[in-house]
Amino acid sequence: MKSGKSGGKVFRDPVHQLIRIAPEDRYILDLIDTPEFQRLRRIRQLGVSSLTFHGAEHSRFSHSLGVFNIAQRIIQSLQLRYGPKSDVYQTRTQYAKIIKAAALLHDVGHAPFSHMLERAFAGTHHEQRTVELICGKQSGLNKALCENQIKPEDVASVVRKDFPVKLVVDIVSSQLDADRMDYLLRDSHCTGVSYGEFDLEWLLHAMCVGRVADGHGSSKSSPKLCLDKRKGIYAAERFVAARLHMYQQVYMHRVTRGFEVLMLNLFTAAAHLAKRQKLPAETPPLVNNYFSKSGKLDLSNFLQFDESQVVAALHVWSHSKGNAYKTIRRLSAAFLSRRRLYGSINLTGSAAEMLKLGEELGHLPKESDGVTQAYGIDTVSDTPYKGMVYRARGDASPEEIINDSILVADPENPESVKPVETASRLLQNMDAEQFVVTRLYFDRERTKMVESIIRKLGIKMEN
Amino acid sequence: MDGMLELLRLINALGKVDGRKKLQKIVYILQSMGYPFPQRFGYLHYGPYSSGLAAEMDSLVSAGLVTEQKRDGGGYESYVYELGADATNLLKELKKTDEPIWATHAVKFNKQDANSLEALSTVIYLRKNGFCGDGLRDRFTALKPQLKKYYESALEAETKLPKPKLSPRAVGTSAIY
Repeated sequence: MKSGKSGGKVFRDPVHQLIRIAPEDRYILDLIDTPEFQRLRRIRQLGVSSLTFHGAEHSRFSHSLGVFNIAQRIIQSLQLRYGPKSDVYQTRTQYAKIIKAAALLHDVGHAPFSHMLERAFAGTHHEQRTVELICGKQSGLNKALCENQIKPEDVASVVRKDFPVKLVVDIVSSQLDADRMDYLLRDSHCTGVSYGEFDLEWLLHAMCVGRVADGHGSSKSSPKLCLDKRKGIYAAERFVAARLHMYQQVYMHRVTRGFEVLMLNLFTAAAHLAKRQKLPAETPPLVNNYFSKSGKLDLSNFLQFDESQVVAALHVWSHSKGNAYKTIRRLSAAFLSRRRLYGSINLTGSAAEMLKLGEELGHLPKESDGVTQAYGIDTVSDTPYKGMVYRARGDASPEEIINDSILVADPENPESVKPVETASRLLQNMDAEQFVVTRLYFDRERTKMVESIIRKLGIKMEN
Repeated sequence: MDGMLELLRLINALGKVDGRKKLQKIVYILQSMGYPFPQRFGYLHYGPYSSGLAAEMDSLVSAGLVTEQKRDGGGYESYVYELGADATNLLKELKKTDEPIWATHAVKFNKQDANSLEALSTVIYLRKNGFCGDGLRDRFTALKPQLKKYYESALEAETKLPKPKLSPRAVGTSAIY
């Protein structure tokens, strides 16, 4: 991966084959060469999914490069469609650097195992950490951005989705964004679940820019990323279906979610010990620090905090001796040897039943440390495509619907923007409800007690 | 579905909430004051928004614990949320009929209109993300030109908010991406 004389660079990539960095985009290489970005090599994209899909070992590093690549290809595609004299071209040149930097850096704040650890502690959301890494004066990313005359706050604002130019945010984060396009293709490729595939080349080819009225009595309008209505509809349908299927088949997988619940309970147990300085002495200091401070680490510590640290801690805990460590020993050993300590039940009861169940389960005997719950209720909800949900609810304003839909437009008439589902019979007939899966995971040693609670409350369940 | 019980207590305390947007903003503001609403918020068209909260409200509505009445919201429909018939008994059963610590604040916010709450929650959001002084005003106006006239009063309300005493609780319902 040495840079050539021209100053650009090429990366081999399993999804995009080649990711080219043009000589004028050398700032991207500066960003890649920071410790903050290199750390992503040691964070798995799909957390504990590799326990279910053994191929899912790919990192946030490769995903982030992929998102950068799709963002730059969206920009190129718009450049090909609109000549250098158009407004779109002006917007493109003005914001291209910010868009590409934000695409590359949007996930840089992820904790080990991606989304799992951040669920254990409040205030550790990766987006917040990403913004801190981009804006923090001590950060190498901040330095690299400033040296290349890019305002870190602009990049952070795109990541937070509050940058005032909507077209810029659309490319990095929307219902039709570079992030989603890369993760579906990459996760699909690596898990071997081909449902995530869609026609990327045609989607890119069909991209155009429409104009959406600012609303609220204003006569102005703003550019929005759209698909050419004569070309993009079928590609959009495939894209929505791909996301739906990947959620149901991969991201919400029962076994994966079960190991997440087990790990969350393990983290509760570890945090309880850490706050009393009672984790086993051989626990890596960073992990000790992380748990005793409820996930708050300073920058230099965060840069070293990757999956190798957490796995090292699991090994220590799984071999710890004595009653005080029984819970962390048992749970970490189960994770390392992929033993399914927890059983699971799909819950389909009403909200009232769920609330009663939560109350009853609160009385279930804890794990041997007297603190850690021996169960977890896991709810995952997702909307394959937001526009449909708004339509089903009927209480969204037109601006809100436009803001959160895949849009189509006639490129000859940029004001003709409308949500794709108005032009797609398939999407119109797709189930518009947000789909929700609720599962109760419980320590198998508590099976009889859990079953009697479920029976007592008369809750419906599916196995 | 970690936040459902607290949402139910909120509707119970307020009696009636006029519109989804208002409800979203009230919860966001209470959470930013440090009260234990576990929902995760991002930035959307109307400012801070939680899709998890929307899903939880849907579950409460389909269970009959909360009712929603349609009314005309000026060009599109809007919902008015009220406590459902079975909710009072359920709260009794769960021993959650005491007045929540955040109740007076919530009632006060509920008396304001949706635009004021949108302005206030956007100011809180921007402040949380490091904006201050003219930078805060400029970004607010760029994001919400239509709410310009609410800016000064939102800013004043924001500075008067009591500082958080409690730390927000861990978040349960998860986004995958």
